[in-house]
Amino acid sequence: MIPLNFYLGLSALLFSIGLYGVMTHQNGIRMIMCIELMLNSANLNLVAFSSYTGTLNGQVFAIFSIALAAAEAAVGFAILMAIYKMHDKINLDELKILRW
Amino acid sequence: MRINRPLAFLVALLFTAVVVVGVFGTSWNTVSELPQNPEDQSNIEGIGMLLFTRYVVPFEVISIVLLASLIGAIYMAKGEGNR
Repeated sequence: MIPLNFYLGLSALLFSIGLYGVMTHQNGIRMIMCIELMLNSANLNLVAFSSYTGTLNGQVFAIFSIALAAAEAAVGFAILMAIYKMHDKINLDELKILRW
Repeated sequence: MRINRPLAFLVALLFTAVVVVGVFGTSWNTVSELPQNPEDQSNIEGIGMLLFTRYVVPFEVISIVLLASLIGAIYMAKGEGNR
């Protein structure tokens, strides 16, 4: 049986890859993909802890988290599509309409 | 704005190092053997029972949230005609 530490280490690695992508990319779609990567690493943590403590509550939480990630991705892509219709680009560094 | 790629890589690497050291330095309180019966390896039945008995209210709430966000996404992406 693989120790729990390796699952948590893999999750930390995935989260760091997502963090690096969010910090370096300017394309909106790539940033949303990296945010999904970070959310999925958190799901991996939930499922690992749930499995290694012998209860199923964490896996139910993971299902809720996946549903929320779907909602977030849908809203994010819709916002990006609306921005692309207005400006013909989704480079988030040149975007000023959502700032105050 | 110029993206500083090595700095971002360094920050991500430091984050990984801190979390991995924290994870591997902790003695997690886990069960030694997974509780499962050899005939039925899956836990789908348990998840379904939990989802529809104890967590039925969050389940319904999250269905409403998903429906509302999808309707909002379709409205934002498709509405107002073409500009």
